[in-house]
Amino acid sequence: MPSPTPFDCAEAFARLDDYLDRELAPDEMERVREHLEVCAICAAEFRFEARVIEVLKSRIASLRAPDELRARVEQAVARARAEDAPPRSPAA
Amino acid sequence: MTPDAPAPDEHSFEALLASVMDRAYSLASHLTHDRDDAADIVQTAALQAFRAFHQYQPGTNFRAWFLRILTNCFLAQYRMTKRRPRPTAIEDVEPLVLYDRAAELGLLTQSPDPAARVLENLGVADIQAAIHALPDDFRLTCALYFVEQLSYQEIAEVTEVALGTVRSRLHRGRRLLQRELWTRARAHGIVGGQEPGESRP
Repeated sequence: MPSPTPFDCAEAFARLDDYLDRELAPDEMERVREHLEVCAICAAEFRFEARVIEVLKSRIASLRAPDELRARVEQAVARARAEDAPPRSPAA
Repeated sequence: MTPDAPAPDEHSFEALLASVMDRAYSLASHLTHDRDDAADIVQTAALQAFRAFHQYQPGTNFRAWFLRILTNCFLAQYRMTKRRPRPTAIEDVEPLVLYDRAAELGLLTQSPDPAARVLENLGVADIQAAIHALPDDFRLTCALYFVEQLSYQEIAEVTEVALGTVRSRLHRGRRLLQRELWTRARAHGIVGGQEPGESRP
């Protein structure tokens, strides 16, 4: 079976976000990839956007829950347990 | 086992909850941009999860299950009481905001990694503030994507909206986020140039 025609710039650009998140069907991923191999302008744009996502994910702080909050939640759950019937078992 | 002995399920709930506390607090903090509000949402979600624990399917993703509860708490409490819906001209947000602005300033050729050049000089607080500046639905979707690093399908399950809606909100939310980030980078003198949307001479 012949391989499908690679996308042009507009078709590839319309799939930019889905391509970066690997949310396209395999054949569309391949057609975008083939376009990027021959179009330096689109390749530069896609590479830049991919780095923006990558850098943001790495820079966004993963915060640690304060000990005070952990204690507060534990106490709240303990109070709820005392006031209510114990939580039923999870569904089998 | 004595009558007063805690049931194993109680321990199981606490253990599962403890395992997701950091992630839950981190997400709540990005959603609310306020430590006290974040703590309140996490506590409310924890209590709701405790009472609904019988609905949890053992062996399934407790984190996703808890994040769905936390998300509902955010939508039900925080949005309704703390903020008003903000009209936003989403359709007007151009794609490639950072790329185009960096190109205009010649940054694409000045650095082998121009995206990092712009973003790495922004503080974490700036990035958090940029996320918080997004309209609620976009902020929630982007926070689940960037903070929790969930897939489209996982975001759809946590937020209980259609996959297509998640896709639309995320793609447009990222454009808005780039616009916010550029505005902050420019305000801090990290880059020069004009505001996105400013008329060009």
